[in-house]
Amino acid sequence: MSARWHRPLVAAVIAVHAGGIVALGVMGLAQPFELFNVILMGSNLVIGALLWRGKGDFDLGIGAMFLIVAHALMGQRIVEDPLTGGALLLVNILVLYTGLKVFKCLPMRYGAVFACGYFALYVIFILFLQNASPLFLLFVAGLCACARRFRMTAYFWALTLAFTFGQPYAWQTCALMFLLLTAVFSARGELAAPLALVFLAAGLAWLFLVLFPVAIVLFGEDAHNIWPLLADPRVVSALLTTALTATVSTAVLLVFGIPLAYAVSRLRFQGKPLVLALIDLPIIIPQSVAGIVLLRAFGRQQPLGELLSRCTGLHADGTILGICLAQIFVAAPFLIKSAMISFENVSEDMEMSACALGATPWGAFWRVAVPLASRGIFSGAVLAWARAAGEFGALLLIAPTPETAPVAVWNRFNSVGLIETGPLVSLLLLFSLVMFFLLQFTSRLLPAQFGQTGRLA
Amino acid sequence: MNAFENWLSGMASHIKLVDQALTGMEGSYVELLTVLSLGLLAVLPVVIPARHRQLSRWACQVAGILIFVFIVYTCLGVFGMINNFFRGLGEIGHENIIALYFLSVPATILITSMIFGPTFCGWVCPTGAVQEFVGSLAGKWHAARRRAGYPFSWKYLGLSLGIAAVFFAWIGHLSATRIFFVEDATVYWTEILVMILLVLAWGMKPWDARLRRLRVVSFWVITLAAYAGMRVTSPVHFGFSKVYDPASILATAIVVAASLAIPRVWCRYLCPWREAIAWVGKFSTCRLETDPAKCSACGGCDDVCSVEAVSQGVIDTRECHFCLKCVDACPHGAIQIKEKW
Amino acid sequence: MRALLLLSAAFLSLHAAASDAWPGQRGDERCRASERIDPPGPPLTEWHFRGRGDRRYEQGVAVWASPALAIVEGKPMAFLGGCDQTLHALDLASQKQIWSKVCNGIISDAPVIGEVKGRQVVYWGSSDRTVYAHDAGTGERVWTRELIPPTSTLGEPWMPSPLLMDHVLYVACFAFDKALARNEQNARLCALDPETGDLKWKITVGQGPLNAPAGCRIDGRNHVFVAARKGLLRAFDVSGPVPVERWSFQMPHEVMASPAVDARSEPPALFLGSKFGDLMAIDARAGKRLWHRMTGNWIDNNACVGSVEGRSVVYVGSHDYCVYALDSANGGVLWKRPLGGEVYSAPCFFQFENRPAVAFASMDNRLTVLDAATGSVTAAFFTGEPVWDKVSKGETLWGSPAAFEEGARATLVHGSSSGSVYSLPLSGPNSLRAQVRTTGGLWVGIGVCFLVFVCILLPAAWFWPGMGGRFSARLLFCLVLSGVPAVVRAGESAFSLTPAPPEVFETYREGAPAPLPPKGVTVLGRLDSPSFSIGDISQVAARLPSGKTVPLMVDERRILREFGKIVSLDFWFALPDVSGASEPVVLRWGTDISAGNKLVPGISCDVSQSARYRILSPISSSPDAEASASVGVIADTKASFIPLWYLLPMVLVFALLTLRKLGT
Repeated sequence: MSARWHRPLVAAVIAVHAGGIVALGVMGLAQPFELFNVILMGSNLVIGALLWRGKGDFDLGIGAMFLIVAHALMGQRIVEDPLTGGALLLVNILVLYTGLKVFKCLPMRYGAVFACGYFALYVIFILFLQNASPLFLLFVAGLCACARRFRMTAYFWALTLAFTFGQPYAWQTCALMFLLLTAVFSARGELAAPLALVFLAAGLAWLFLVLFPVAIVLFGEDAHNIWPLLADPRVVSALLTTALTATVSTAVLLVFGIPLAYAVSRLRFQGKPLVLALIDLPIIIPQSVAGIVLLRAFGRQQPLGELLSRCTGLHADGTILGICLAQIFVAAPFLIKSAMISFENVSEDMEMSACALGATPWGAFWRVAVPLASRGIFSGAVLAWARAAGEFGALLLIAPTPETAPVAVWNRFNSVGLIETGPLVSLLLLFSLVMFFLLQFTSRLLPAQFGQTGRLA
Repeated sequence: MNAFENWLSGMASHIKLVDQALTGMEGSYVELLTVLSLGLLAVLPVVIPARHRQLSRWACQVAGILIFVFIVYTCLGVFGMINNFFRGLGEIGHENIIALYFLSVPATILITSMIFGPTFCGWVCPTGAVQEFVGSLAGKWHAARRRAGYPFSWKYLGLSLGIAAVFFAWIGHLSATRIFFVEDATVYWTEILVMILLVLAWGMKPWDARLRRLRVVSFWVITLAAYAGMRVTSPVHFGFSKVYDPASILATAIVVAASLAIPRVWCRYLCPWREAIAWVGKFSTCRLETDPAKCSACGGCDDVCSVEAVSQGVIDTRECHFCLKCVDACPHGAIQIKEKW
Repeated sequence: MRALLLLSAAFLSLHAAASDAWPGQRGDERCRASERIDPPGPPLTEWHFRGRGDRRYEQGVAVWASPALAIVEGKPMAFLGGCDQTLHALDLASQKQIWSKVCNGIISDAPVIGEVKGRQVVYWGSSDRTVYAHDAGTGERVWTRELIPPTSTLGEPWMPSPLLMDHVLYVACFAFDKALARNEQNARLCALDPETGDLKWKITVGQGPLNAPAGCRIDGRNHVFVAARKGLLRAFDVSGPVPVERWSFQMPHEVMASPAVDARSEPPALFLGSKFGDLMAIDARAGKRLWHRMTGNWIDNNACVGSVEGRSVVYVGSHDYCVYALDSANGGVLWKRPLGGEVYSAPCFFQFENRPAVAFASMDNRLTVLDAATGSVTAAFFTGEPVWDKVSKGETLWGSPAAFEEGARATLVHGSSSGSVYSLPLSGPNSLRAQVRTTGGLWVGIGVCFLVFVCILLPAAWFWPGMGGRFSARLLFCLVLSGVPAVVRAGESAFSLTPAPPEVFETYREGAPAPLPPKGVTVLGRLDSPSFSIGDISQVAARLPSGKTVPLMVDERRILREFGKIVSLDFWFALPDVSGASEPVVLRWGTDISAGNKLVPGISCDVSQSARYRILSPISSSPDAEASASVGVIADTKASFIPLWYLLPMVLVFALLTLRKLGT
């Protein structure tokens, strides 16, 4: 639009405004001298004067004048009170300003995203939600603020969609989407190909969907509800029992499993494939089957169990010993397998050189092989600990009391129902997460293996 | 002392000129005057031409105080902004108007800061305005101290000790007459302010930059309080809503008195919202940029900045309140507002 | 003088006893919350009752709601419910719980007690969307009514105390659904028959939680006053079959209380306080403010009207630690007494030792009894440390005390936030007499803060470089990610996008001016009267008397079938032009609805009453007609025009850019 049309256009808009107000006043639908209308007329005149003299951005100015005229003539029907009308007008001008800036200064795609976003917000807040037109103003203003960068727009949309579509799990959806976006936006790789980014985004989305139930329970409980649990002696004893038994089981596994792993990895013997399969056996067996099997072998009324109790006075079922037994049974493969793999990665030349330099075979094992394999052994031990602490099916059969944490959750669910079990589950999840993160960080303190670059960190 | 307290409670109960919202939305008490004012006041800095900038800034600040303390019948305050933001998000779908009420103030400030520059602290904030007005009474003394490199000053020490004495006396009276709850935590913020003043009496130079990091702690504390569902009220709380809150009156009095000793002391060391605005300012369209070719390192900008965010043309964006005094003070026009879309 | 007081007290209490025992949230409409035991029995002794104390307590929920008191079969009984989802019926004389009823949701407000068919029945609502009616003496169920249909994404419903007035039970209820397709935030006022629990009518009063309704009789007509939490107080004339709104009044801030009504004064006045801190006196006839008195901080709970030395006095407690006694005629402060903590409860007005007294509970965990005439403290009791920490004050309505008077003795009943219900006789020894409270807590806090600053913050600030910057930004990010935990109800998310049909039941003011001349009008309604039962959709139709059929649209998803018959359906029909039309539209249903046949009572609506809004009223053509089909509202043409307005700025942006492109 060439400059010679500017002045006539300004004059036309002012004329329409004045004429419209007068017409409405005559028809009795509006008061021309009400404060709000006076302010609108005044600001229109001021903007018109600035544009007449050629100052300021013409597009923005004429658009603002047009909006003011529209508000003055039809505003009363939209909102009854002038303050809300004023806020609506300001947001409209803000959208105009942002839209013009985005379309003029930035590439087309930013403008497209902005326009589509605006229409999407319109559909959600005006058409779908009830009583939400004031919220629409706020969110539109937020969209304008974020229109400059795709990143900010992405976070904004994550927030909006979580709180409109993601109900009733708004906070969890929001948190997970934020994490996803952060991971994707800050991804840097050597290839820098979009393919890896797409894999990352899709994979994380799938991961979060899988972890969504955990997120619901973890964030669904108030701190208020968790504190009383820590004061409950039953809960505290269940937690302590779990920690204690898992630690004891892992310790036993370490003592007996590391030598076995070392031997199996270093030696060749007949039946090695069978032994390897047998080591893996507890993973394949279902938990309840494992429980029955253990009970059949070590139960109080079985021969072996009776022998045990006669000689040592210890029972296996319904005691800590039984818990440890079950946990050792199910957790063994994790430790042994992991230790085996890491021993295989330690080359035998190291030990042979150690022996050549005068170390005993025990010294070669303890001071050369084990430290080099320590990271693998440690991660295996962590997995074994986690598996032992989480064992449920076998314990339900062989040792439901003393309660461990998973058994306590089951009992609580059976007695008070789904909602009341929430705080205990939340506490356990927190507990597990904290343990896991602590252990992950601790593993970095161990010496890295020869040739490992620590890429996973 | 009791008479003083009665007078205070009477004043706090009648501080507003209005009895209710000027116009409530859809049969509620929610009105958009706060949001409207915040929006308009935040846009002004980029619209006002440079000639009358500082005068308009002063007018904005006065308007801010008048509107938020006297006319808006209930305004959501500073410390509650995080809490209110979370609360507002939670109310979407439950009561949309109340969601708007709680979201509107933090969202408006953040949005206008992103689009028009982080002008809230320097142009709108009533607490900052009050500190600036009171601090300007001692402006020459502050300037002289800064130029001399903050030597040990008996006057300053006396002032700090006087403030500490007032604080303890007032606390002594309050502790005998009221039971305090966790929401009155502004008392602790005030206590830390008093201690900061005393620390800075001896070591302004080494401690100034370090104590500014306390704003982060302040921000963390109110975020964690919001997380735990606690209501922590800000120093000017009694002005924003029509309640008699002796903790906040005490806090305001101490902040005002302390700004005689150090300009804008609350904003420098303790204001949590300062952290949020500084973070948002990084993403803002409007920034201040110094053209090194034009800068002659005269130090003119150092002199005018009340928070010492500028040093010979180098602007620390984490401290800058966007008051634009340095832009106006630079004789060569080296510092300019750049708008970058 | 004393005899006069006794007589007036007896007269007042008899007046109260003549009607229902405990008709409203705080007893009678004046919110006095006290009950007289006549003739006085053996003195009651101190009793502490612990409910199901191991129930999980949720933040923001009142531990115990206010009690309702009644004399049932000669026994002084207290009924109260709370966060343990159970209503307990306690016999104070024998100090036993007679019966209790476990509901599926918390009971957040007091029950009401009324007399129906010769026996006393307790009515209460709980957040499982249901109104319960049980026999007060035995606990036997009389009826239950579910008011809000359940959906899997429904948020926590809110049901305050009902109101029993003139053989109608008024219940306010609020439910919200955050799922996008079913989003609604409607608050409804329902009228039920106290004998059978049948729904008489139901109107949507607004959006947002409602507080307990209050009611009184003005000029021979029954009025119900409902305050919304957002601050709008509305008055409805409920004498007719359908409620008609008389006036509405906007309170300055959030209101959590119900109005206390003084129907005997001239003009009849309502007293209501808000979070702004001022107590308003509102003319109950016209809805105009009579006077208002500013207090120092929020007013959470109800006020109470008592009469002292012949004049009406309003008592209210505010969060500025003070209790106020105001003259109800002009609002003059008679006395103001500061207590030890924020006063959050409604007062309870009763006679003790032949003098009027008020009792308040405050946040220093004390129940304080004050002399109503002079304001001096006569007794204080320590009610125990709360089970919650003081974090949600101002958001929850906590329980207030109630009192039994017998002769010169009085007994306070209060469910305190320590988890126990206390029945405390005021005379005689009492284990809870208050000790001196300590205020040294502030110094402890100051000391801790000092230590934290000196030992932790200063060294950290000195040694830790760059304590801010990216570190805080990342942590801020993490905190934003984790958000504020909220208690989540398990349920599915609705991912379908088809919007629900327009909701029914809103009333508007008659005769409000219409800014737009209406082109057409849509009538929405629901047929669910007890006599409505059809086999098929085709058996219901809407007709004009001229015989012309109005096409009737029925919402397939809202049809309720029972034993193969349709017993409830939502319908709507549109009328093309209503200006000047005065023909009623008649809705008929039955097995044969040909034009000449009018079988069972239908519903007629007169579309000429007002240019924009219409209120439908049922006709009763036969004497035994039960015209209780609930029909209401009109959606007007505003809805179709407004949403497009919000597209204006974007359209303008495109227009300007296009013009610019064309111009260059």
